[in-house]
Amino acid sequence: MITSIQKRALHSSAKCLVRVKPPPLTIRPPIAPTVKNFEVNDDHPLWQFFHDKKYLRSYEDLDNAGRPWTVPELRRKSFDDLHSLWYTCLKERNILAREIQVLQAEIDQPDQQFMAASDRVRETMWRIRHVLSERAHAQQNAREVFEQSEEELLDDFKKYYLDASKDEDADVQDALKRLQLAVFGISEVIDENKVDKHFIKGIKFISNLKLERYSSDHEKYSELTPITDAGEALVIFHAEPTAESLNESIDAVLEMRQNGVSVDRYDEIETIQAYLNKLLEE
Amino acid sequence: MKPSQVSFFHTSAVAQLVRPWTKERDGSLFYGLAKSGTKRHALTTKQGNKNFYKGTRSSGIGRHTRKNGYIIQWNKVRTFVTPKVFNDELKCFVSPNSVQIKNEFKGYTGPMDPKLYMTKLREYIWHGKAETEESSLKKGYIERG
Repeated sequence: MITSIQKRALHSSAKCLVRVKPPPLTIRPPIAPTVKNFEVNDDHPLWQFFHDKKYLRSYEDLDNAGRPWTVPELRRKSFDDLHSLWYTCLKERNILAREIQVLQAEIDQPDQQFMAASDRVRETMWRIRHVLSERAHAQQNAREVFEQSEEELLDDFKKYYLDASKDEDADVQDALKRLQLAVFGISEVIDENKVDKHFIKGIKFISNLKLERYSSDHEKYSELTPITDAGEALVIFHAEPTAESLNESIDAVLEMRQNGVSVDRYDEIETIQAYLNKLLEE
Repeated sequence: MKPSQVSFFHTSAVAQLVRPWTKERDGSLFYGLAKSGTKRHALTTKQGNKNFYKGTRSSGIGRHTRKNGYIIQWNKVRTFVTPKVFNDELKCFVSPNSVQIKNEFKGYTGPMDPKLYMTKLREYIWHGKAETEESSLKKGYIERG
């Protein structure tokens, strides 16, 4: 028995694929191939190859009088400034190279004025490299003699730090921050720090220095110093530079000693790094 | 024995020895700009024999696969580090009217003297980035360096 009448029809996919007559073509006016018919964003990256969005500069627009930077001038600049200037020069040379290429098609040889400008920019660029290499060599040379003069530097700083009056507290703290960055590579930002032997040496030196300035009249001072344990040094290193805060840290250190908490000398780098990582996660 | 070419007898001995540079009728050289001058320049990419390959140092950042693919090895790709804080106030030319500074390095051997570096280090620790009497620009645009 037939329960339902079967519908006689084409398959649905056949319906989809059926050819439909396209709509009649409308003819539009042609687009002439000129630059005016193109729209280019103002922040298109290729604009960096053009000066002031001009196809070609005139000789008057070109900086003919400007001289390249001299080495003593560049010696005064910071690394970031030199880096920026390098990229400014590079972009300028790209612009000039493009313009020279464009002009070459017309006058059959590289344009002298544009070439001269390019050469002057190039002069600045080698001088930047010269100054940077000079700095690198100076640092290398200084590092070789630093081992002998480090102790003298730290002694001088210790004298300055301990002799300063209470009014100079802010200055002294700023100087300490610069010392820890310059000599031991300890940054104020915790996550910039990488724990190594200099870091450990630094926190030990600074914790002893802080204790001597702020808590030398504490009753347990002579018993406590000098600090040689990295864990104890870190507690004091993080304390605020006030007598109260440092006395609190002394109590914490004494408690640590009572409980027998100490960092083994042979894996203090790993232990301190793990502790800092934990501090960062929190 | 191979017979000599007929054209051989028509050229003189001198013409055999000179470089094979013929001249056009107007006197300009067939090849090159001049017969004299330096010739030992570095080869360009278009010169050399079939084994000479001179790239532009712009390719070779990966390897081809058997099925038309190319696998880029990112450690071979050039990277350009741009400054973190771009200072766009510095231009590539200096005004010709600005006076040039002179470094004198008095008491030091030069810019790479470790003693000078240590002096600068001490100045930074004690005084920060502020100029000191010694490091400041002196009369006549003379600077310690």
